[in-house]
Amino acid sequence: MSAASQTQIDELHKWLAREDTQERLRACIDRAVSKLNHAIDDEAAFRVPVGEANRPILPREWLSAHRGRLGELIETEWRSEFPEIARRAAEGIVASAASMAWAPVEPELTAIALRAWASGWALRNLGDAVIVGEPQLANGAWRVPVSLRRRPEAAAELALDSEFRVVSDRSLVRQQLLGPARD
Amino acid sequence: MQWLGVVDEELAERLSRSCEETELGCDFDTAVRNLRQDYEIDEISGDEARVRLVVGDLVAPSPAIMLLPYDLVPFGSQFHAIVLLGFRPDSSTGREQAVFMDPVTGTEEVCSSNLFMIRWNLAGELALVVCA
Repeated sequence: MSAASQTQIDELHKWLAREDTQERLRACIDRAVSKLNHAIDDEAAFRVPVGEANRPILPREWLSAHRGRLGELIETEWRSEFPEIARRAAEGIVASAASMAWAPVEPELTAIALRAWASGWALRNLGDAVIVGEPQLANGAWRVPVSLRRRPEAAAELALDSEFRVVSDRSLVRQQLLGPARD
Repeated sequence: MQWLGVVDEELAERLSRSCEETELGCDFDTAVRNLRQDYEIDEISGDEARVRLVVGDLVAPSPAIMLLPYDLVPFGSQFHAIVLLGFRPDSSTGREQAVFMDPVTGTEEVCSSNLFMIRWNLAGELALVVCA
């Protein structure tokens, strides 16, 4: 790799790390996932593995399985979102950028799976009037916010262990959500 | 279940109490456990093939009660129960559609079976059948 291309790669890294770039990349990912889901004839459309037996396959195998299918869509979205960069940069740089764009995809995909699992837990243990928010990764641990449809200010969090099991106490979460209404 | 004719309004209110409905709604496990006191309930969560077998049974098809996100977009986070009635090909495209009763609209709805199953998947794939 030449020194010039290394400089370009370094600049690309800085640009990719910018908050506004990350936000636009997330939009690309959302659109790519949505397109995959709406590919009605695609039998292998985006599905989250459900059930205890499937849990261990996350994140590596599941993410790898989606990398091929989603990668192409994400690159298309990436080129559409950043046409000036895609046009100006050498093809190798564009490929590098598309490849680097995968890095933020992994936690996004993981979050989608965790949200589906957390939704299943919430529907089994809390009720069908809860809202399951976007999973948040903080200090290496995932947490999923939950609130009430009719009273969004009532809020609690579901904690997940390293194997993505919800480890929150059902009664405590119910109490946190229902508590204010009973005061 | 009211729509299916399994319960009338009065019984629906009693079931709401027995299923311990709160501001959180009804949780699936409690609802299934309590419904089993009066009905034969077949839980078919996480098994699309069985859902298809049950609703598509040629002799005695049974509607399936399933929990879905409200929205067709992939990340809808609010849920409700619908009654899946079956699958049929779209008359113009030939693509398979899911046919379901949506209590939100009170009418029979259709959407592509792929999207329907993705919605079900993103809500944890919970479903039950009230056996006749």
